[in-house]
This record gives sequence, C-alpha cells and structure tokens, in this order.
Amino acid sequence: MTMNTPASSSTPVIGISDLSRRFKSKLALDTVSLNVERGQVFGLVGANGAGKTTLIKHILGLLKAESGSVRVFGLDPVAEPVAVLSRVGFLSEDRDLPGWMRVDELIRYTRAFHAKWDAAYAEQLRQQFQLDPTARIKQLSRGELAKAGLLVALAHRPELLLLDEPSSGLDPVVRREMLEAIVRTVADEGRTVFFSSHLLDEIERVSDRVAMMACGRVVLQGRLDEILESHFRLTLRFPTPPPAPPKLAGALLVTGSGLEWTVLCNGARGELADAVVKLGARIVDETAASLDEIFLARVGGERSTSENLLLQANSTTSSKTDASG
Amino acid sequence: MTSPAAALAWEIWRKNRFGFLLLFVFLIVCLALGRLATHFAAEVETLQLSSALPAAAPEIIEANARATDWAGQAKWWSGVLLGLALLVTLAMFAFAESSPLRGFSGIPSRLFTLPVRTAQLVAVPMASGACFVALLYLAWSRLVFAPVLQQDVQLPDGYFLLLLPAALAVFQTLVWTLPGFPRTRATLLILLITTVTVLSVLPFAELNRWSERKAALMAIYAVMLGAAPFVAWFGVTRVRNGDWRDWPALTALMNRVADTFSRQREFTGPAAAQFWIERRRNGRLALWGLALVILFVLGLNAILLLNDGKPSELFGSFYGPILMFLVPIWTPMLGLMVCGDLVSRRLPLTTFQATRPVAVGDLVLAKLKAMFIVWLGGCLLAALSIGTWAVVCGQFDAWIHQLYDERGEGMSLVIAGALSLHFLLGLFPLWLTGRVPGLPWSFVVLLIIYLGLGDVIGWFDRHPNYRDTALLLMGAAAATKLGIALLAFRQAIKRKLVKRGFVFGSVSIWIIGTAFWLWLVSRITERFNWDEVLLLAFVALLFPIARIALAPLALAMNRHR
Repeated sequence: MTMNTPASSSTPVIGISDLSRRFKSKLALDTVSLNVERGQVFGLVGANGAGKTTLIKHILGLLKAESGSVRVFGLDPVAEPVAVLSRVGFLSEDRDLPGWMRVDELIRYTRAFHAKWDAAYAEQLRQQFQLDPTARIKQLSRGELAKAGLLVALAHRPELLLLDEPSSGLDPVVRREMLEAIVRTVADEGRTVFFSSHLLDEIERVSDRVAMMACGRVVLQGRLDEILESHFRLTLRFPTPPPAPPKLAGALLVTGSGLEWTVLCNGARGELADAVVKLGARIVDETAASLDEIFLARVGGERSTSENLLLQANSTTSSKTDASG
Repeated sequence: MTSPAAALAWEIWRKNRFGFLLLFVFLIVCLALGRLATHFAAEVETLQLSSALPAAAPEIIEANARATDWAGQAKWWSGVLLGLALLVTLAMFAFAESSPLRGFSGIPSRLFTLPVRTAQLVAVPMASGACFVALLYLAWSRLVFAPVLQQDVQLPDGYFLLLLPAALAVFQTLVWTLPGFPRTRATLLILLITTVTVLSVLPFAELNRWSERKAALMAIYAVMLGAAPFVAWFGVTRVRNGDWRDWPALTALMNRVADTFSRQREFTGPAAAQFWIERRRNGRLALWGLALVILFVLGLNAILLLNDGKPSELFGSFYGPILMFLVPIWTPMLGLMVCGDLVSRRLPLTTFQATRPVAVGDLVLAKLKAMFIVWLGGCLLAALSIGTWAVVCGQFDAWIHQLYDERGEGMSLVIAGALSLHFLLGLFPLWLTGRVPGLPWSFVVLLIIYLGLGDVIGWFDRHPNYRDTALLLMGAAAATKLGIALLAFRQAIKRKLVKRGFVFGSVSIWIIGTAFWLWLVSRITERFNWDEVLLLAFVALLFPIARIALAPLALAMNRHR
C-alpha cells in the first residue's frame, strides 16, 4: 500500500489541469484548471449547479477525471485514496453522517482512522459547539449536524481542509463566530483551506484566493485583493442620451438609462478614461466594485445580456421620450 | 391532471413504471410456460388417439415424460413469479420516500405541503393498491394457473381476493403511520410478511374444519381491509401535523436500551473501526428480525402443542420453517444489507463512507467479516431455538442422534449451511458497484437467479442421459470461475486496491473450504449410490472465490465514479 508522500514545498496542495467531466449530456466541468498553494484559504464561488461539488468530489477522488488531471499533495486521489484522504478533513454538503451513531461514537470512530488525532482539540471543539456526546446524529438539528461534521473534519488537524458549502444550515452568528474564525485559525497554522460557497460576503471575508465558476467553467480566478483592485465601477454622464448602451473595452456590465450610465470595468484605468472621452461622455464617479458585483457581472453573463437587451430597449424608449420632451 | 387524486395515481405509475413492466414480463413468461405445458399435454393425447401405439411404447413414454416435465416447470415458475410479483407490488404501493432531513422513510413529506386532504393522500394509493393486487391475483389465477392445473384443483379465489388486498392495506398502514419508529416498523413488517406467507399456504394444507376456519379468516380480512384506511388516515394526519416522534417515553426507553450497547472503548485501528460500523449498522436489525420470526413460529407451534399436537410432528413443523426462512430469505437479505445503506436502501456508498482514509480492500474485508459474523450469529440463534424446541418436544435425543447420522438431518444441515454461505455472498460484486437498484429489486433478481439455477440442477437430476453435458457445463463454469478470480486478483493488486495478504487469505480459505466439502461429499458418495463425479464437480463450484476477487474492483467502481 502506498505510504504518505509529503509533497515538496513547490508542489501545489491541489493541482487541477484541464479537468472535464460530463454527466450524460450535461457538461459538469469544462477544462477546469486551478492551483491551490500551501497555507492559502481558497474560496470557490458559483451559483447552484455551477460544478463546485463536482470539482470537490474530484479532489477527494470520489469522481474520476474523464480528461485532464487532478493532483492533491502531488498524488492522484483515485489511485492513492488512503494517502490523500488521511491528510484531508472534509465537511460534506450532504452532511451524510450515519444517523444511528451517537456523537461520542462518531468521534471515536473517526479517531481510529487518524494517527494524528488531537483528542484535547476534539473535546474543546465539542464543548465550543455545545454538542451532547450522547445525542444521536439523526436527532441533531441541521446546524448541529454541520458542527459535528466540522468537528470530525478538524480534529486530526488536516493539512487540507475541504469544506463544501460549510455555511449551509448555520445561522449568521454561528457562521461568522465559528466557521470563519476556525478557517482563519487553520490557515494561520500554515494549513490549507479550500471551501465552496455561494455566500460572497463570506468568501470575501475569509479567502486569500478566489475562483468563480459558471456552467462548469472557471470564469475568473486570482488573489482576492488583486481581483478587487482590478475591477471598478465608473459612472458616466452623456450630454445627450446615447441611442444604445455605451460600448467600452473592458466593460463587464453596463447598466443605466438616459444620460447616466454605470459601467463595471476590468482593465487599465487610463485607457478606459480615453475611451470614455472618445464616446463623448465624462466620468462623474469611480468606486471600487464589490465581489458581489464582480460575481454578477462575470457569472450572470447570460442573464445580464438579456437584461441589457431589455435595458437597451428601455433606454431607447426613454431617450425618445427625452428627445420629444 | 384534473384532480389531486389523478395526480397521485399518475405519480404511483410514473415512479414505478419499470416495476409494472417487470410484472407484465412475469405474466408473459408464465403464460408462455403455460402454453408450452398445454401444448405438450395435447401432444400426448393426440399421440394416444391417432396412433395404435400401446401405452408402454417409448414414444408415448417420452411424450408423457416431456408433458409432465413442462407441467411441473409451468406450475413451479408460475408460483414463484406470482410470489415475486406480490413482493414487487408491496414495494411499489408502499408509496414511501426517505427523507434524510427528517430521518425517516414514509409517505412523501413533500406531499404534506400540497393543498390535498390527508384522506385523499391515504385513499388513492390504498384503493389503487387493493384493486391492483386483486387484478394481479385474478390474472394469475384465470390466465396462468387455470390452464395448467388439473380440472379437479380449484384455487380459493375468494380467500385470496380478500387476503391480498387486506395484507397490502395493513402493510401500507404500518409503513405510513410509524415513520418515527423504524425498528418497531421493521419488526411489524417482518411479522406481517411471515403471517401472510403462512396464511397463503393454509388453503392447501388440508386442515381439519377448513371451511369454518376459512370463513372466520375471511371475515377477519374483511374487517382489516375496512379498518386499515381509517387507521392509516389517523396515523398520516399525526405525521402531517409533526407528531411522528412524540412518544418520548418509548423513544427514551429504546435509546436507553441501545445506549447500554454503545461503543465506549477506543478502536485499535481503522480495520477495527470499519468492522464495527459494518457489523453495528446492519447486524442488530438482521438478528432482531430473525429472532422475531423464530419467536413467531415458536408461538404458533406452542399454541398447537397446547392444543394436543403431536410433539414429534411439531418439532418438524418448527425446524422446517426456520431453515426455510434462514437459508433462502434471511441470508441473502443480510448480504444485500451489508453491501448498502440500510436507511436509504440504496447501494451507492455515502460520501461519509467513501471518504474514510482506508483502502478499498479493507472496506471489502470489513464487510465480509461483518457479514460472516452476523450470519454465524443467526445460525447460532436458529440452532439454539431448534435445540430448545427439541427439548420442549422431548425430541432432543432423537435430534442429536439424527445429527450424527450422515443420511439424516445432519447432512441436510451441512447442505443447508453450504447453500446459505453461497446465498450470503449472492450478487456481492454487483451490489458493491452501487450501480444496481437496492432493496427489493436486487433481492428479486437474486431469487430469480437462484431459483433458475435450482431448476437447471433439478432438470439434469431428472435427465441422467445428459450427465456428460452437465459435467461439461460444470467444468466450464469452474474454469471460468477460477479464471475470473485470477484476473480480478491481478487487477486489484495492480491497482493497489488490496494487499497480497488479502489474496493469500481468500485463496487459502477457498482451498480449505473446498477441500472440506470435497471430503464431506466423498464420504456421502461412499454410502449412497450418487454420481460421485458430478457431485465433486458441483462441490468445487460451491465455495466462493470469483465473487470475492471481484469485490474490491466493484467497490472501487462505487467509490471512484
């Protein structure tokens, strides 16, 4: 049986290249490539059905790559499941813990698989999460179930913590105080966290690096601060209402009507300013874009296209009204 | 869809359309067999009438043998497929879905949010189920059995037309009204199915005063059929109102009992933990179910004993049913349960299980060990109960004496044990892939396969002229089995799914097991004039190796999809 092979410091903890996966006619993952380095908190964001869980299942070796490759600690998780899984802590979105077990039995059972199990830390987490050791898993609330799952995922101090929609079922207070604090603690200890969520504020608060998924593709990835830095919102004012929404290179989303339009941009500020002048407009305001807006612009592409068409129709109507007025 | 009732009926059809198709296939197979049987019977008559051949002429004897053979086949398979069709019908009209969030399976909780009256939720599946099962029985009775049964044999249609709908209605009531008490419900369902099986056999048992008893039983069925909808309505209303787990005293008591057996010690390693989870999640229920059936049969026999039954006969009437339940029903069910997830009745691994950091070979080994230990526990339970009953009936000495007699019960038990081990592994690799449906469908397929094999063996037994063909077939099967085992083990080692120790252990157990059976059979054949070569070839096939070898590959398919 394969022994644990520590990845060299240059090897990414997770390395995915050109990964594709199809379920019957649905393309669930389309040439996905991403790397997660040691000590990072990596946030994977996407709408429901974007392929987040499918990607995580590939990282765990629960799905085989149809094309492309997946490496965790430099190992293939399908060929070397024991070597990979013993270094991973995983909280499933399904929370499919065995309902007939008691909390203390679950802890004992999970402990058996991990040589580095930290019993004191497990007990500390149990008390922090206020979990009754004699309670049966099936009698726990959804939030308690998430806490029990998190406890057994954390207590062996895994090198990689994989969380699939960890906030699901947790109220905002617990989410912020418990989950985010824990994720940061794990990262501060030099370990890696990879988590998926559709709660952008959570991703924004916790992650160092972010990938956005839509329809099985990674549409944007990079360091969070760089992403936020490179995206900004310009408010343009035109002397007369333009006949169509203004077209700017680097504009991801254009909204507005009449004389004033807002453009969410990604590009060099100087070039954009020149382009705005060429359109005959002037920049009246420039603000930083939130991750929420970037996500909507990047991921909601198809939807915003149809909305833009509607806006275009509205703006044409309103410009005609303005002109006639 | 014009009404909620139509929508509910459509849902039953849509969800179970393959089940309905399967029943149709069963019916067609039975009709075809019946047609063949009547054709060969007619051939004998034609031969006798049209030719001047004497009755002892070889042509007539051969035609007679063929007609008897086919008539037997038609009756046997029609009965078996009717039994399976009834099981499938129970599964289809259970109208239950598991709800992971609420932690139970019962009437689909999503329906409770629709603007439909509880009475309708209960009435539609219950009424459609009762009508369907009655039609199913009539189809078999009139179309399948009528042509193949002799003129003087009449099926008690009225009796079955009340028994089967009443049984289905009670079954549905139990499934729907006790979602918060899965163990109690499983217990009651096992008792119900056992009772219905016994009641179905009664009309053919030539009992004294049967007509009076039949009338009384039919009255009871009618009352149950009438009362079940009201009880179900009451129970489903409680479930709909969220009162499905509000017997705190009972729940607390059951939890206290379960807590006394909870795991307090640490595990010595992953293998021990995995063995514990496999044994714990299925073992208790399996042994509890077996114990209940034993108690039930024991109760029936005790009543007969108190009513001046003959102890020697009553010993046999306990012994037989227990073995009949243990070997072909309980054992394969246990094998199927260990392969899958009991709550959802599905075979794919849960994410929790699939992400345990253990090799596939260790997962398989834990399943095999748990399966074997629980099976051994079941056999022990059955042996203890039979021994106890033998003491009660004053038959203990005779029974022990028979056990040592190789021509008597002892040999039957050895054969039953061998078959039981075979059934235990059943379609093990196929189930482990997680890509076939779970209970009850896989169980139905398994029963069909084993009944088919039994039928083929029986056919060769009745046709000694085909001895060489039988030998050839068995030789080919044995070679295929060993070939599959070799290739599968090689592949599993190559893919690092198992260690060499797993292969060594499996092969050693197979060699020892097969050697034991060969020794046993050679002793039998010394005393009887049985065909030694055929028996030895058959025995070489009995002990599993190919299924064990395929298991890690199958589980890897389940784990890494």
